[in-house]
Amino acid sequence: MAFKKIDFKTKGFLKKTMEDYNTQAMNAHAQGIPVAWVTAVFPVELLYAMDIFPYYPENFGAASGTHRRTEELSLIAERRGYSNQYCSYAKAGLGLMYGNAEQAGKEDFGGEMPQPDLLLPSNIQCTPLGKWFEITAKYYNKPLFLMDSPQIEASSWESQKAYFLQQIHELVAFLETSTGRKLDLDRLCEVLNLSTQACDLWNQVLLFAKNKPARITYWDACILMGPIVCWRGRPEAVHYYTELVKELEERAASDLVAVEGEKIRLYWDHIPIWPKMRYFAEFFGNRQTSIVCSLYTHSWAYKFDAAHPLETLAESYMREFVNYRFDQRVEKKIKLMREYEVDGFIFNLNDSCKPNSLALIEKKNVISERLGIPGMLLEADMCDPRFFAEGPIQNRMESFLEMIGSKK
Amino acid sequence: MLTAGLDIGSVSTNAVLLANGKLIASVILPSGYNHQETAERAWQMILQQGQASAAQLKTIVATGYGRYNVPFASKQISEISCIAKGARHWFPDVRTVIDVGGQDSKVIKLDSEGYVADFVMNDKCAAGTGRFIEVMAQALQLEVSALEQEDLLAASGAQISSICTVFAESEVISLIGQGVARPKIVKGLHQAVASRVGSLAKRLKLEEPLLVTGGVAKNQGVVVALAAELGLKLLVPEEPQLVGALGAALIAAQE
Ligand SMILES: Nc1ncnc2c1ncn2[C@@H]1O[C@H](COP(=O)(O)OP(=O)(O)OP(=O)(O)O)[C@@H](O)[C@H]1O
Ligand code: SF4
Ligand SMILES: [Mg+2]
Repeated sequence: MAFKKIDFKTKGFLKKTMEDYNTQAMNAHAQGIPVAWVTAVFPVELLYAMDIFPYYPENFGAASGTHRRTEELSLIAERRGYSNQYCSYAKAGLGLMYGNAEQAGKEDFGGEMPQPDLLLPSNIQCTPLGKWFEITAKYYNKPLFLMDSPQIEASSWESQKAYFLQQIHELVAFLETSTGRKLDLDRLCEVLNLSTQACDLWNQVLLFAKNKPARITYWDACILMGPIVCWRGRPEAVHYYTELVKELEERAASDLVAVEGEKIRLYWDHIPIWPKMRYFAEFFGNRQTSIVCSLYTHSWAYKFDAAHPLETLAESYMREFVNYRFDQRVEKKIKLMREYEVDGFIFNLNDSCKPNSLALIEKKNVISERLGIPGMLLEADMCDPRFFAEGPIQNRMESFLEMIGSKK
Repeated sequence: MLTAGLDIGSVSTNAVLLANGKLIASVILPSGYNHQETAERAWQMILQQGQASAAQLKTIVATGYGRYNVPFASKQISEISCIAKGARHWFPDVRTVIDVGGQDSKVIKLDSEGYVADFVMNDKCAAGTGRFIEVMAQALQLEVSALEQEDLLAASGAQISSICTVFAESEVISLIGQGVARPKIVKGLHQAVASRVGSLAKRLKLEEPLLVTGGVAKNQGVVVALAAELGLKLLVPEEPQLVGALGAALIAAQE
């Protein structure tokens, strides 16, 4: 039974929503709106509330993978001395920056990314991203503000929160002085409510993978998550996900499933391998296997308390699964695996993304032992084809599915 | 009932013919660059050896990297499943199999019922596999089959620390340059391979009986070094290179 992907009826709406985001990013300067580069996990609600446009260069990194440009861009960065084991999102971005500089006069990333007026990294998810921002800030001589959130211990949440809240206050002051815009708390509350609504809708979307067979897979979710990353805090995200939830409800009513004849359900960590999305979706689909969950797509579940706008931002953004310690990270994975009733899990040991590849072998052993389900490791870069060997990867995945299948 | 299994590996192509589960013909050929042609040749050879005709066989299972290059196969199964099956046939109690082939080393754990419970394979690098040994043997002007004899001549091995094939080769060249005796280098190489395969194996909880298969198991030098590395007793089947093909033929018999 050959796998056939069912397109979403709201596909066009998604495309337009994301195009609008890019158009606004590229037109911001012309409209006198400052552009701030932000990392995926950052209290962007503040920015939307102050009419500062948040731009996510990580998206460019992922898109460079999808469009198979990472190798070419990385090589530009590597010629400047960057290691080929440095995060390939960062290398793609740096390659674009240096590449444009090399072709004299094209300092604006050739219209592919908006130049930053401010750079706002946080180290909640990782350090490489912050370094990329630092280099860019120096290159363009623009101000940078780093939100620092060290590894979290449950026992120190209160002091951590105080530390992070302090930084939020400093961030607001920094934004006000560098842009001349004032933060209006009422406006912030509106944005927070929109953000909460979008997160809630997004999590309703993900729940459709709990069905057996699943109605959407991880491969769908990786594409559908665009607006929750870029547009959270804005009506665009709420509008799109409202329509998507409706469509999924229709799917459920007409019993439409993602993978016909689903036999195996798996968890996947972490980022997908962007240039090979279709390959993976078809590989698993053809083998009656659904990838039903991942911490990556389940990252956006904020519930803001608009009564305490700054405190709620601090509490929500000071932690992300990546800055939890080993055992807590394991618990988070286990919780998802249980909820989605998976038969096994696949972890990608991705040299590019060290924070997410840390201790994966040990995590695999601990989880297999606790849940009594098998896991496998794959080794591939999320973007760079130089670190992807299809033969050995396919061989491992086939063996893994046979192993699960034979025991079922 | 006649069934056949073909294992088209990255280095060797192995085929077996079973009559009611009993081995009646087998062949080992270099895979070469044309897998389809090699598979066809191996197929004709076992039919001839077993005095059988293609029409007598209903199921033929292909395994190994080239398993999709066998047009006459009725089914493709991964090497992990086939090796586990074959190992279990020859050693019914086996709980762990370490297969060191041409480009992969694989460690397979079996549960008490013989199902694959877990497995690991070497990462991107080919150091610690048969290919690596072949490259080194070439640099030392030895046939791979002569390595184990050479190993016996040395009391201890030279230190080869690089885990990368390319760097290890230059390490070997510089040992040759320093005039280190060849047996000492060979023993050092075997220990380097054992250390690499050993650290892969230790990712799983190893249980005895433990079987070593694949072409590299024909080299006692590596087997002895690996046993020392793991501190466990290792069993080697009479024809370690055929285990995958045997498993494939047994799976064919089940179909
Ligand atoms: N007679 C021998 N003595 C010592 N070593 C040998 C002998 N014959 C083969 N080998 C070793 O075995 C290796 C090939 O092993 P094998 O035939 O199991 O590989 P394969 O199945 O083709 O590879 P893979 O499973 O990785 O695709 C050779 O590279 C060589 O190092
Ligand atoms: S891929 Fe990993 S290292 Fe790169 S930006 Fe994302 S979290 Fe950071
Ligand atoms: Mg083999």
